[in-house]
Amino acid sequence: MNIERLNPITEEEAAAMVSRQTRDDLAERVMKTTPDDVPTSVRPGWSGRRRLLVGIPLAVTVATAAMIAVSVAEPDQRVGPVSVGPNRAEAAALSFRKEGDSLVVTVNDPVADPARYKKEFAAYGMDIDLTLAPVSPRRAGTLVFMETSEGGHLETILAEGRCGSEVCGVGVKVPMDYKGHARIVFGRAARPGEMYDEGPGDVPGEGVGLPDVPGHTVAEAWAVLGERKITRVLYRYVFRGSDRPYPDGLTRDQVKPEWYVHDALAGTDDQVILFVGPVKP
Amino acid sequence: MGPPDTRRHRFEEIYRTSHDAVLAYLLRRTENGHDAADVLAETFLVAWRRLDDVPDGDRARPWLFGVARRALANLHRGARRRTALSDRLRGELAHAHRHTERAADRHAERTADQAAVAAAFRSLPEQDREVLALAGWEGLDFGEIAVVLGCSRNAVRIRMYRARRRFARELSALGALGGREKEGEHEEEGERLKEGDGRAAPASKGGAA
Repeated sequence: MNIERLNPITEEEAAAMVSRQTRDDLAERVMKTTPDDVPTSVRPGWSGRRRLLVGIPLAVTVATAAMIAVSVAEPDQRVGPVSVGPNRAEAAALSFRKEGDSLVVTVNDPVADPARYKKEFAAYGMDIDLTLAPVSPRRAGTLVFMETSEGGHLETILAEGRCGSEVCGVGVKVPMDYKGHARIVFGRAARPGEMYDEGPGDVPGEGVGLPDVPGHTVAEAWAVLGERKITRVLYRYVFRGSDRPYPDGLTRDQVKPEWYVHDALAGTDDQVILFVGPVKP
Repeated sequence: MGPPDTRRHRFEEIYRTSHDAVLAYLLRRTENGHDAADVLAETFLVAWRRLDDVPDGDRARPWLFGVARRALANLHRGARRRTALSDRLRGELAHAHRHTERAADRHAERTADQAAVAAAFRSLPEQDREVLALAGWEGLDFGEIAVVLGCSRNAVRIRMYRARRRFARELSALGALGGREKEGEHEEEGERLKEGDGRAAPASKGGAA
């Protein structure tokens, strides 16, 4: 009876998965945070521990979307839109309306500077950081990340598939008495050339707009990437589980359009990495 | 808290010596590379913020496993902290679980006995699996496992003894190992384990598989 043999991975195998640069990058990023800094969002005046709510299962978000769709259809009092800041001619990035004991805040402009959202929330006395991150079309208008103060509960309004550059409708329902901080990231459609932020539930290749890519031909992948105006592509060779005889990758000229894509992922600096080979995975 | 350079050096040393071990720990216990990347970043962030609490030398590693374990538990409860810290790592680990599956295939060789051992192991309660894995995969001794689990050394002995007994019972129930593993042998072994604290002894000595 030897459970060592069940060990899914050795330390050496794990080590080989992470490049020196990535390893150093994480250490540097960690050390750039100040010792009292809780990652990304805690400031002085923060009360209590935070509750983190991310990676909410899809089933839950779908249920929320259904519930909200009903509540949005009800008659309600419109409070906004408001325009904050010096440029009054600029359309509001958010709209606010009262609904019972809550304010329903929806996004008008999904590609606005997050600082504008913050200001507009602040005008209503709310401490909320909202951003929209580029995601694959399937995930546009869904919740990517949410973090609230302890005891805080915010309902999100989803607009699945409708968060392109023109339409949106994602938002959040904030109780009037909510005094905590929140950080929320919704997905929006990516602009040409933009990589997708990956999130829970993504399938391989989704981060670069090639979901379900394994098994498709290189020509098909080129077509999709071309449409998205992604030009920086690195090629890695795969044949029977090995990268021999091209351990350092291939040039585009060496890649045949009829080959198959085994995998696709986002590299650094907006590059896509395609794992390709002559044999169907 | 020491001056900034001392802090940096200390952290770099801990990071350098423990990064791979913590990464392996996480890859063994997560379903995908994203989760492993997020928790790895979170673990070292905690280490940086609580640098004065990190034990010196060899004791740093089980302490980090303990932090990683709690972060994983949060993740499994649906509370994920995703930060920009791990973005790059996520990219590299995006497909890590496929590599681990391949590695598992290679190691396990898929003999009938191994399949039974795997099934028996999977059927154990999480806390049994954890003590067995900490000994067998991470190679920790009882004192180190106690640091990871935040309990006493004696409690680890008891947990390990019980885990081994349940594991043996599961194996017998599955008819694995051709009856070579008798309950009695494990009673005996359990007693021995109570005495001996040898590194990885619980997992590496059975030997019948």
